Amino acid sequence: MTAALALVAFAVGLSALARFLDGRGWGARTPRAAIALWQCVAGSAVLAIALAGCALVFPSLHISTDVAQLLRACADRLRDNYSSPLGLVQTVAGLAIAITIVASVLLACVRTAVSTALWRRRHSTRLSILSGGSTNSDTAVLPLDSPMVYCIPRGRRRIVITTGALERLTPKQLQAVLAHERGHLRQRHHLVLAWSVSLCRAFPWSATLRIAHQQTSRLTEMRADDAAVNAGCDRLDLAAALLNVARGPRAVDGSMSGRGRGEPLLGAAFTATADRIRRLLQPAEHDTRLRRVLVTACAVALLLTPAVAVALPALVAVSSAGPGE
Amino acid sequence: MPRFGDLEAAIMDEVWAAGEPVKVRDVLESLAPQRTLAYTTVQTVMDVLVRKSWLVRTKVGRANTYLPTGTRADYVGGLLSEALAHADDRTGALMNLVERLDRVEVDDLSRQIAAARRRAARQ
Repeated sequence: MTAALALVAFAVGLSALARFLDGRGWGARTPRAAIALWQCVAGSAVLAIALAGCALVFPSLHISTDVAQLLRACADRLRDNYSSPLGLVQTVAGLAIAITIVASVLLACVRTAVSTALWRRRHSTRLSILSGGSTNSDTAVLPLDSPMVYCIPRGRRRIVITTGALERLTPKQLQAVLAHERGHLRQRHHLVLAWSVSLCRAFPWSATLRIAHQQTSRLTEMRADDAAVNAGCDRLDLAAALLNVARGPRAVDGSMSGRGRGEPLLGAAFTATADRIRRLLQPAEHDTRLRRVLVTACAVALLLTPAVAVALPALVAVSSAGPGE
Repeated sequence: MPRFGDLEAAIMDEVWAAGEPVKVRDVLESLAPQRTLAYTTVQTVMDVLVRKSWLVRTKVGRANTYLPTGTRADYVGGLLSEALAHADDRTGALMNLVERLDRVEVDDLSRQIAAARRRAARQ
């Protein structure tokens, strides 16, 4: 019981950490490590609750290298639980929690993967007809005054740009923007975002998971910005390009789309664009290695904590039992 | 050998350019300079486009004529509206370059970029 409570307290602590870091613009200096940290925060929170469920079912377990003895200990423990009403409730609740969590995550992942794939396929088909003809480039051009640039990780022509954007960008700015999108595609950000949004869909009430997803989304944009700079684009060119695309008339109104889905899943008002532009105006950070190592170490520690917390009582019991037992 | 999808795009280009109902023969003749195609190929693809609701088919006399169900601008607008909506949802289905900024932010950032350029020019 205490292990379960400790794990729940840990999950609450993670929630507080998420809220603390949210809105502070944290992670901009080490976006890659920061993405890892946010994913570990999300994963650790889910893991903690699932293991809390397991801890209710098997409150204390002696780890043994003898599998038969381990199974007998499990069976003994279960029988003890069933022999008392409180134990029975605890066991059922624990199993329900653990199974529900695992099933929710799996189901959400499958649904996200399927719906995303279907949407992309439909969008790609219409895109290829509307952008006309066959070219060897990875970019499709659409005739529209409103400047827009986006990428879809599917098919041959995966970067979409409107004529309105082409008109507003100098050649260098255009190169920077394309390098940004190619950075997204090469680094496969869509995978971590799909995982992240699946967790949000599995547990829509969780602020921790929602914050982790928003932060991941914001940081992947910074990673793509860095990829463009590393590919040789000037920071100021990219900053000016982002501003030119962002300032153009939004002739295509989101409300026209007839989505019929009600409110957007995670809120549309999260403007990270200004932060990104300001970040590009500052000179590049050199030697962030120490910072990166620290952040990564924290990420790993957070992820391992729930598992260690569960295993610790058992390990303590084994070591106190001594050898030859 | 052009891909199927490329042919759909080429045919829609011709239909939109025509501005009036077209027959399969008209499209075949328009495409003839760039591509050698069989009549049946063009007809098949145009029927596919009808099924996908890009074209609508009516019979005039003995021949079938085809009209687009919307202008290219309508379709482009619809496509990008949908893209924007999905980008707002942040599902990762696509990744939008930027979100819109309001007037105040735009002016402020313009000034900052100009200042940064001046600093860089001095160095």
